Amino acid sequence: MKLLVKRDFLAGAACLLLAFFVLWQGQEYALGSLQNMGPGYMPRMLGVGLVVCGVIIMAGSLRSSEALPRLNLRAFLFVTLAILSFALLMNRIGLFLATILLVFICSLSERRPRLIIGVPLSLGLCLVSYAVFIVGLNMPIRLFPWSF
Amino acid sequence: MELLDNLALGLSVAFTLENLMYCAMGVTIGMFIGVIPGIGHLAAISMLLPLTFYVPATTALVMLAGIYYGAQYGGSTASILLNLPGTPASAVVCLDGYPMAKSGRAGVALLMTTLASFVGSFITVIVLAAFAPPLATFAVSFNSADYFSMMLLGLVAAAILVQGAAVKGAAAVLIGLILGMVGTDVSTGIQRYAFGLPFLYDGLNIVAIAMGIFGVSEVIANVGKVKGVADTRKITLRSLIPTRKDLRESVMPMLRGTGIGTGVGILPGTGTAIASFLAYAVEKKVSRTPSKFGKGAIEGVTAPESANNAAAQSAFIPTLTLGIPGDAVMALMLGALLIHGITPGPNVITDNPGLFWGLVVSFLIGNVLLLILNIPLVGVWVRLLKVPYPLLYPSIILFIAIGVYSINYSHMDIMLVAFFGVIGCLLLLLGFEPAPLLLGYILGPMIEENFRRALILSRGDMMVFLERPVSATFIALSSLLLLWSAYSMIKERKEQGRAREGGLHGEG
Repeated sequence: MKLLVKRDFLAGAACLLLAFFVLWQGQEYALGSLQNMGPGYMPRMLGVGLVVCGVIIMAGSLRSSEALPRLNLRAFLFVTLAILSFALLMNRIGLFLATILLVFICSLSERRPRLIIGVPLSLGLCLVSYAVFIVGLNMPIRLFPWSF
Repeated sequence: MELLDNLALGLSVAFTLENLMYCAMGVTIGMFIGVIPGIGHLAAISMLLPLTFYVPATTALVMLAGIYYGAQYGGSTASILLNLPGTPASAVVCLDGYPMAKSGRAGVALLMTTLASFVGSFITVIVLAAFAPPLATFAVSFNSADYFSMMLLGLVAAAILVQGAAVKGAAAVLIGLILGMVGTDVSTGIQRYAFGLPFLYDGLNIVAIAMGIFGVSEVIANVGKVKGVADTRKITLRSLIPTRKDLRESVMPMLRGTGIGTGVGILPGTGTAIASFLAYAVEKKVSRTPSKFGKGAIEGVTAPESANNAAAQSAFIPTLTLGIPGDAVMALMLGALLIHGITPGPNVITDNPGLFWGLVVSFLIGNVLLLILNIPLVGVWVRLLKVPYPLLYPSIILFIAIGVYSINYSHMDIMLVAFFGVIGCLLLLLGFEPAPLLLGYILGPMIEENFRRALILSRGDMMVFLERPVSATFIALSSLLLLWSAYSMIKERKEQGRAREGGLHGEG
C-alpha cells in the first residue's frame, strides 16, 4: 500500500509501462540487422533501455521515502479543458468567441474565480490577437461564426 | 583582414533599417517575456514564426534570436523581486538575488545582473565570431559516425546534469527519443507509432510538445500560488548604483560564469538552465566564504547570470555550424532557415556569409540595446510584475494555443498541447525533468539516421565509432561523464550510509 504513494516507485512503473507498450507495438516493425537496420531496430533498443532504467528507478525507490507531490487538480482540469475547447471550437465559432470561452474556463481554475475581470481581459485579448495575428501576421483565421 | 571584411559585411547587413527595427523589436519582446514569469521565449518565438514567411531569413533570425537572448536578460528581474524565476535559467538567481532585495539592495542586484548579462553575452558573441567559421570548416569533414557520437555526448550530458538521479535523466532522454520515432521512418518510409492517424505521419509537432511540457504544466503549477506583489517603490535610479566592492567582487565570477556558459552552451542539449546552475555551484566551491551564499552574495547573482547569457549565445555555435539544435528554440531557428531553402549544416556560413555575419553583428547591437533598455527603464520592467497572475495566465494559455496553431494551421496541434500539458504534469509529479526529454525528441530522428548510415557504411562494424578520431573523442568524453556520474552516486550513497550510522536521521 505504501508503495503506491512513493514517487520513484510510480516513476519506475510508468517507465516500464511505456517501455512495454513500445516493445509490444514495435514487434510490427522489421528488425533488420546491425548492418542494415530496419524500422524496428531503434524502438527495440530504446524499449529495452527504458526497461532497464525503470527497474533501476524502482529498485532505488525501496530506499527512499519521497512521497508524490500534490497536483493542483482544479487548475489541471480547467486549463486542459480550456485548451481542448479552444482547439475544437476555434474553427467553428471563430477566434473571438473561442478566446472569450478560453479565458472564462481558465479562470475557473482559481479557487475563488473572479469572473468579472474575465470580461475586460477577454475583450482585451481579442483586440490584441486581432492586431497581432490578423492585421500583423495576416493569418487565415475565422473571426466570427458567420465569417467565411 | 578576412575578419574585418566579414565584419564589414555583417555591419552592412545588420545596419539596414529593417534589420535594426526587427532587432529592436525582438529584444524588447524578449525582455518583456523574460520579466513576466510563466510565459517562455518559446511561446513568443513560435507565435512570431509565421513572420518568417514575409521577411528574409536573416531578418527573421535576427528577431527570433533577439527574443531568445533578450529573455535571458529579463529573467532575473522576477527572481530578484518576487523570488520567482522569470525563465527557468534564472531560478538560481532567486537564491541570492531575493535575499539581496530583502535587505534593500534590489536595485544593485538588478543593475549587476544586467551588467553580468551584458558581459556574458558580449564575450560569447566574440567567441562565436572567432570560432564558428573554423569549426564549420572542420565540420565539413565530419561523417555520420562523428555526428552520432557528438549527439550521443549531448544526450549523455543532458541526462547526467539533471537535478536528482541521473537514471531519471536517462529515462527522460529515452522517452524523448521514443517520442521522436513517431511518424514516418526516414529510411524506409514506414509509419511508426502513428496508429493510423494522418496528423502523426509527419511526427509530433515540436512546439506542441515543448509548450505542453514546459508552458502549460508551468501555468498549472503556478495558479493560485503566484502573488504579484513586488515592493517596487524602492527601485530608483540612485538605488541601482553598486558599491566598488560589489564591482570588484563580481569581475571574476562574471568571467568564470561566461566561460562555463560558453562551454555548456556549445554542447547540444545542455542549455541555459544547466549553465547557470553549474556557474553557481562553481562559485560556491571557489569562494573563500561559501557561507555567504544564499544570504545575498553578489557572486551568486552575477556568475549564473553571465553563464546563462553566454550559453544563450554559444548555443548558436552548434546550430549554425553543424545544424544540430541544442534545444527547442534552436530547432525552430533551423526551421526558419529551412523555410527559406537554407539547409542547416557546416555550409551555412560559407554559402550565406551575409546571414551569419549579419546575425553576429546584430547580436552585438541587440546586447547594447538591451543594456540601454534595462538601466534607465528599470522602473517600467519592475512595474510589469505588478500585473496579477489571474490576468496573466489565461493570456499565456491563449498565446500558447494560437502560437502552436500558427505553425501548421492545424487544430490537432492545439489538442496535442493539451495532451502534452497532461504529460508535463505527470513528469512534474513523478520527478522527471522535461529538458532532457525534449532534447531526446529533437535529436532522436537525427541520431537514428546517422547511426544507421554509419553502420551501413561500415557493414555493421561497431568499431567505426572508435576508429575515427573525432568520433572516438566524443565517445571518450561520454564515457568519462558516465563514469564521473557513477562515481559521485556511489560517493553520495556512502556518505548517506555514514550519516545514518552516525545517528543522523536525515534521509529515510
